[in-house]
Amino acid sequence: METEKDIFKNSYDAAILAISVLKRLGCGKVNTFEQRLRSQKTQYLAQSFGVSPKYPFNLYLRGPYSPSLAFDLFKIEEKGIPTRDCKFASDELEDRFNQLKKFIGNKTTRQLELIATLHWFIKMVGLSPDQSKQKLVELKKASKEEVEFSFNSLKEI
Amino acid sequence: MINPLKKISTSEAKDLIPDKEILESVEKDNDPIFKISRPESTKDLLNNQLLEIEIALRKCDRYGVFE
Repeated sequence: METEKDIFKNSYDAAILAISVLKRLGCGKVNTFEQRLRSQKTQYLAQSFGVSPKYPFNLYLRGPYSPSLAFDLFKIEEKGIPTRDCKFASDELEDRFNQLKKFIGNKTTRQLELIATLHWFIKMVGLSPDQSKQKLVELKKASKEEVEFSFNSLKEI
Repeated sequence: MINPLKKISTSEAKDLIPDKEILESVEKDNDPIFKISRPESTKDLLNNQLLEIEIALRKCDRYGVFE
């Protein structure tokens, strides 16, 4: 018999919290590739803002991607497990969540993908800003404007 | 700090990744920039504690501890 512990890749309540955060930000659905991609980038940024439990990410051609998160998103859909749109108990986390919400704003999925990828190069790999920008052009075929927009956006994280 | 992890096979990836478009990109993961294990900073650890408290509170709520 499947127990709570067996359902998700993350712990049950951590997965529910992560997906609740995604839902509050208007994503977390898995019906289309675009929805899944946006959920992935939003989760990566939510972790960078420190408002969501950690999922392990690796870099793929479409930017940072977590197979474990993909698994949990499909599981929650399949099982019909409800998530609540409630605020964080801690004011500090709620403030950071609001910063994240403002940061995501009306950014397109492409913009989130580029920002997350540039963040990966700088913060995770430890490349210099110039090396990271060059990598972004190579990997994502980003235009000069897109690179500068992504780099400036990173200053808010 | 770069610490490449073990490369996963395509068949393993198929079990994990539901999106074909992303699965195809696994071919590139022999480049160390694609797989990183970064030690957590003190700030990360403190932040994790805040999240752990949040998770614990929600779990208590789910079990009706506050009712």
